[in-house]
Amino acid sequence: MISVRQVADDCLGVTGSISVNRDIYGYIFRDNNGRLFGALGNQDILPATNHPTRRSLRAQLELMKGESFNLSMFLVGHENDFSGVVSLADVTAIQYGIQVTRDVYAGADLGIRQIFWRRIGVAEAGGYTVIETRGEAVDITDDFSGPNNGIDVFWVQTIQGAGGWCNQDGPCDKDAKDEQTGVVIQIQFNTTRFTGILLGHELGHYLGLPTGPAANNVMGVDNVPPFGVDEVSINSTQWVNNQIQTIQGHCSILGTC
Amino acid sequence: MATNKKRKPSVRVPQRVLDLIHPDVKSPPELTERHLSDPQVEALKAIVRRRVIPKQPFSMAKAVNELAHADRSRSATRAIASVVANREEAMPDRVVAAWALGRGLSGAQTALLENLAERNQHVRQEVIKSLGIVGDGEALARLKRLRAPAAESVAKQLALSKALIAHRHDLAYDHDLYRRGVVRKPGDEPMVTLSLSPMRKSTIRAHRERFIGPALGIDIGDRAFRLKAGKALWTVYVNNAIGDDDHLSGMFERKWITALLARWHVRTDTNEVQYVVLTSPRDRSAEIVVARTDGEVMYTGTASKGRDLLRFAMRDVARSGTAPTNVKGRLTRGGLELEMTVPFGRRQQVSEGEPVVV
Repeated sequence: MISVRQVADDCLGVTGSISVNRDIYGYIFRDNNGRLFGALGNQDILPATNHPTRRSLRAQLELMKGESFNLSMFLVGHENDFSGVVSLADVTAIQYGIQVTRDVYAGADLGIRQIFWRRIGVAEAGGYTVIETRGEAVDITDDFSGPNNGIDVFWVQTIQGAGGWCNQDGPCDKDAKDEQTGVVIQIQFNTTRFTGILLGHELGHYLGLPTGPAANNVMGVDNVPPFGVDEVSINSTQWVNNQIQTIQGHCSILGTC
Repeated sequence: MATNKKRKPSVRVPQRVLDLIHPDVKSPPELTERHLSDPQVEALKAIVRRRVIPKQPFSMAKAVNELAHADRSRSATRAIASVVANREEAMPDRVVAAWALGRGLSGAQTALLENLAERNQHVRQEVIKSLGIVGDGEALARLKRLRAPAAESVAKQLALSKALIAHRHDLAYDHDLYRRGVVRKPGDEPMVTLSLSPMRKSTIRAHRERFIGPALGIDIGDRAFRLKAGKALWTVYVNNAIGDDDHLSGMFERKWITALLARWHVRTDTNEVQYVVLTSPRDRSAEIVVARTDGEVMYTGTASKGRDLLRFAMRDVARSGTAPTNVKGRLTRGGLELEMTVPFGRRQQVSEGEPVVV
């Protein structure tokens, strides 16, 4: 029998009073109606349960005990009192996105263990709240690195010309100077599920995967190669075996706990 | 993302346009021609002006970008400028609209100057940034009269925009971007390999075809160098207007936007400006400033004439996240030689942001 308390201690170093959503899942925000995932639409269905919000705690505990990776989530232009550019709807959408990504990566037998929430305040964020060029996506990862072993993910309001940017096979030295050292992704899409699909897709690049092989695959397709803007949809959730082998071999993957 | 809040005429919008502006559908690559028909462009314009609200979800930022791609006329400029000016539009959409005005649209300077007093700092920064790209003497005069912005990022953008205009048109204005660089010693840190080499005309042409603009208002493509630092690769496009003599003597006669460092992105196989090189004559040498397009100064140095065609020395400027680099080199009739390079492999003093407190 798997124990919440045991996993929290072994994998997260959390003891004493434990909140499942806060400590095990890392979901620290609730909207004004008390919802972790905010307002959802018809197409917002979690891949693992085919239900809008239903999750399996047991599955999460087993996944996070196994091979996993951590995420360092940077909210760009965020103030703790929500007076910046990031809204409550944004952060609950991101939490839903994380859960969608967790469900997708469960298909590759990989867990998302720990979420480190970081913020870049409005003053420090400057022009990074809206990413207009590919170069700016590199620049923000040059300027900021999470002080932890999570893959840096920078959540911005809008990205021109793409939903997210990431190099293939990102480094584990987040201060490496000659490459993009994190994922840059925009928050708002038409469906919240798509936020998670895209997060999973960009993380796939970071973990070593190229685009392809199919529209229903996590890595989508690029119909107009070699331009590097990939086509993914809310149904891009599948893996093929060699992809799983590749991502499990990335330096970001943590051993069992 | 735009929402359908207001009741407006719901006219049938061509499917092609709906696909282009759908929030969850990928945009065509930046360098791809859209080939939109006149009715499709007019539909885009009506959406941007909020005269038509599509029934389907749409992204105003995408609509603005597609319109800027398809139509560079004054009417398109006015439509896009209406998004910049409208405080009811979402901030990211207004920023994208201000950015689009910096991409060579007719009458863009006037539209940008009308929004110079914008209160939102993100929109204002973008207006100032675009003015730096398209502005002339009139824009410089207006920017010089602005009070120092309270937001540091806007102040940096303003300083760069003034410098860009002055250097592009050789106007009277001395920027204060220069900072003394840091002396680095080999052996302090692991280093990466750095190389700089001239490019052939045919290669430059091929790189230029994969270049995503804007070129900050200068003509490029006659002369370029290939710069490689570790895995990172740039094409260094030299300003055509400086002249075609081997020793870039024009650099010592007036101030210039001397070169653009366009970074290559492997996944998109494109290059676009990451750094701009500004030079100003100082006595018998030239002062060099390398800045990011948001005004962050990255490297400074000097160039001088001597027995060689050109000698130069560059150092990184102390800042959060700096990539420590010292380089000395010379341009000779035999080519380009780097005499000393100290490029560290890791950034220093990178910001960690702050923990979120709930």
